[in-house]
Amino acid sequence: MTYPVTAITTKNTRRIVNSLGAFWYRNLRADLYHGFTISDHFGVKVAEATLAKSLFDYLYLRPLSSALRRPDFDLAEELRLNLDDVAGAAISEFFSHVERSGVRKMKLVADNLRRHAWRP
Amino acid sequence: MKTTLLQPFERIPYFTIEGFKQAADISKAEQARLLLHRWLKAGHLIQLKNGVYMTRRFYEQRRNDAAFSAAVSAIILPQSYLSLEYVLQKHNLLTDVTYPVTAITTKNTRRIVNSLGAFWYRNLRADLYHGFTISDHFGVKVAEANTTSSPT
Repeated sequence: MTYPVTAITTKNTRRIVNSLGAFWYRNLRADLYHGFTISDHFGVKVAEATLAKSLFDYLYLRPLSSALRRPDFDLAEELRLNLDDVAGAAISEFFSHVERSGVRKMKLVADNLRRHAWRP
Repeated sequence: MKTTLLQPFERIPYFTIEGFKQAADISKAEQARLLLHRWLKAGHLIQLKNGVYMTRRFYEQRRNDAAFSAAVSAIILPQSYLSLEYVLQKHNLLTDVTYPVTAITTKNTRRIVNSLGAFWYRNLRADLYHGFTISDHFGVKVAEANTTSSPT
């Protein structure tokens, strides 16, 4: 385990490093704290976001260039995200997270992805 | 005190000081802390965060489980869900290199993270600083250990 395990919390953002690795937690507003499933691993409840919600969280928390408003700016290309193989259901789920959040930045992101990465 | 007191905890992923006190029937917190500190130093325990421990035995048994690091993350901060790079990487959405570039130096051990990635440097004694070849990449001299020199 050489790269950090990344997670979302409604508690404070923090980074914990112990002998097992690095664990990074980013704070997110309580109303965006959803979009995950819970499984059980040796008695520990582990919550993991869906691919669509992980992508939402990643783009929401990342400072994005103001060039996002330019029609020729390709966000997926800029961030080197491999979005070609994302399934239709995950794309729909991503857009529903954007809609539900009501965040203007995320609407710009969704428009950009629709225009470049996920053209019909 | 004998490490047999740790046996009840070898089959569970973690325990707290309070849990240990109760299971070992120790009334004084100081005594419990001292024991745990000694076993930590001896390598019988792994500290996940302040006051939360995993036995070395549990770690050895479960470390190769695909969900091991995910479970450790949930133990450290239960009010959290895995997301961001961890999940995107799992689904091959990230094309950037996320494994650190690892190198040996006779200078201080350090970790540098910038927008290009993570670069980890480990200190090694000067008399062990050998066994590499130097090549030139766009005018930059790059030293890389021969296969047999890379410690495992």
